[in-house]
Amino acid sequence: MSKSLSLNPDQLAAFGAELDALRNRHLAELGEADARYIRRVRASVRITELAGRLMLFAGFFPPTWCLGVLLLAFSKIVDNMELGHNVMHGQYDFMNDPEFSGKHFEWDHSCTSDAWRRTHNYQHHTYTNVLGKDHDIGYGTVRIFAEQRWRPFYLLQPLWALLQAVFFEYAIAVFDLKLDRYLRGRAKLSELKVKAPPVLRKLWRKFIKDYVFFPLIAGPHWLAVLAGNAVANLLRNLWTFTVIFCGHFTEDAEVFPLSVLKDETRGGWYVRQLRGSSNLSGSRWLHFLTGNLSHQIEHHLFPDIPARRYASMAVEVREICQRYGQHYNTGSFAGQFFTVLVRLFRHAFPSRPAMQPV
Amino acid sequence: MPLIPAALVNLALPLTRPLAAFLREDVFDYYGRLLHPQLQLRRVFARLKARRLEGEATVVLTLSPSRNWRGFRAGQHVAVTLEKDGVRHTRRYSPMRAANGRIEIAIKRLKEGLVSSLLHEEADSIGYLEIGQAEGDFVLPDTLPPRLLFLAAGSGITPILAMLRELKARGYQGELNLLYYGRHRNQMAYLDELRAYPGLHLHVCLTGEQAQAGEQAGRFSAAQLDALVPKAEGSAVFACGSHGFTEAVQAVWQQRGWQGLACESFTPPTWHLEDDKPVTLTFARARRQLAGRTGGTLLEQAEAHGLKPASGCRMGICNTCTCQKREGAVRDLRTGEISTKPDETIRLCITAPVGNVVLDL
Repeated sequence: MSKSLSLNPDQLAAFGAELDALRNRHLAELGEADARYIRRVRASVRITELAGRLMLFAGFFPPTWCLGVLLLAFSKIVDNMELGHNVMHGQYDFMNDPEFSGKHFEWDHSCTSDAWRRTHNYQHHTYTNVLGKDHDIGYGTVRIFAEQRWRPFYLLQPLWALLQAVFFEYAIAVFDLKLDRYLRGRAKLSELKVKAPPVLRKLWRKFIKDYVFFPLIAGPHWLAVLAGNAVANLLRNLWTFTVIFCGHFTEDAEVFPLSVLKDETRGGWYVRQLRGSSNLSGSRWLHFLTGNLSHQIEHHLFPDIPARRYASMAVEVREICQRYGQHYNTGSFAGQFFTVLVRLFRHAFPSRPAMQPV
Repeated sequence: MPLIPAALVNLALPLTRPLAAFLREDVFDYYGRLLHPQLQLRRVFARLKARRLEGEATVVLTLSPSRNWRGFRAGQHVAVTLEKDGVRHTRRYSPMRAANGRIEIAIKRLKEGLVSSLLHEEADSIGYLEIGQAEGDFVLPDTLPPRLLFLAAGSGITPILAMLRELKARGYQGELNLLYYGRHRNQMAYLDELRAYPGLHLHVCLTGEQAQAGEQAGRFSAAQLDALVPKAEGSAVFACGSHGFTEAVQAVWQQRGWQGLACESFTPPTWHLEDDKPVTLTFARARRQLAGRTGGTLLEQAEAHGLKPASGCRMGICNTCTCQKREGAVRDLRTGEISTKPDETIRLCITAPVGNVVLDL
């Protein structure tokens, strides 16, 4: 059941207009500070990657090995989240800099940037939490909402989720291929022959880089480098999985039937983004390490505004939501993640949606 | 202060080519520029070697491009990029051959011209400038004709002068005429060099002040052309200037049925605030021109003509339809702002033309 008031068309239009005004104010301010910020983020990614890899070359000496793993994991996390995810949304296109162009950015992740731009930027951000349209609802492997149809497969979903967390980058990489459709004979294999090669090429490249090339040039310390890269990738996978599952699967997050898309207004779209997303409260470091996905609500309202601005936008968004009686879904990282786990276990078993108020 | 010398970098640049197959360009470039600004896999940065004034309103920069630059043919143009307040701005200028393998670009100061003002005022603080590869087909033919006629107005002199320097280097012996138009004598660039050019029949035509001895007055006209260059027919002709200027030249050639005219113009974008005015939409890579109208989004108009540019959400959030606008005036439908900047990033689904637009699609 929704904790938010339902708005009439006039209220919806006014709500949308206030958010549009907020967005345009920030659009007009884009400039030097944003450019300097994203260049520094990029510098931190490059320098920690270099430092981390060099330290792993020193072998299994515990202080350098552990620090090397942490630096490399930090680099990969920031590269994927604060840098890659945000740049690929076109947040820094205003700079006209080819190295920060949303269309051409490439990241340190097994998922091809092109597939990401299609499934995430377009499908997920346009049709957020619409059943049947937004495949990010449960990623095809878990049942998070009572509105999803139950299948016996979901009984073991805590295990599926754990596997997904460990292999998150590969799960995301093959996600766009929607392999289950081929297994169930719903799509032709010839289609897979066209779609698979770029995905496999990227997977292979990433695999060679972390598990063949760098171990090889490390010579006698090859095993330390191999293990270090594997642990760094694992840490990145667990972290990104946890953050991303907190974005739309918390207790108060809502899903919507396909019918909401019919004649949906700008205001209606904003309300859907708001009700489908959830924030994490925490320190500046939490916001940085989650790539500001801790401000999932602001990110979904304004996906193309530089994420460094979400913290200050959040103050106004919250105030606007309060005036319109809209629930602003936020909580501590641990608290929000706990509600995700509750959903994960609860909806492994058959469940029914609560009745909507008439 | 670069960590390694420029000579070494430029020696090494051709050797980095094979790396392109294995490395991400942006990663190589990031570390490269920490060592030296020119150490880039493909991008070209040019060292600013000298700066001088030509006439009262034109600054001439002497540049030394890195070895990534593939050179140019006289008359072509290059993109020059400068950053201001975190935003990169690109303008096109015609490079000219200078001594020691360097090139020169001439920048006329424009009222409210952002890049030209920066290049005039802050050139001393610029160490390196990014330039693109040379483009354009406004160039001299490989076999030179016996007679050449050049028509230049204002800063349209720069590709023409590039050609004249090229002709001198190639030892051209034929007949050379140049009609050079400008408003005020002391604002016209390169007059001294042109006056000293051996064998060139130079006609300086002033449109904004009284002509003195040896000068002409008035804008380009058929009568003036006949008086100054009686044997214009049959010459190979190169005309460069504002849109109005090249149109006037084209009209005379068309009317007389003469051949051999090549034109290039720099057109400041114009726009209409009202919707539903006819405009021309050019898709440069697809080599298609469509009849469009102001007010409708570029995406809808392209689709209405059967083109299928990549697109997604159609509401300006997913970034799928992002592309480069090469030139023209457009309006951002979310903010209502009009932009006339060349080479900027736009999204087709939330951008409407307000004048003729050229897209890099």
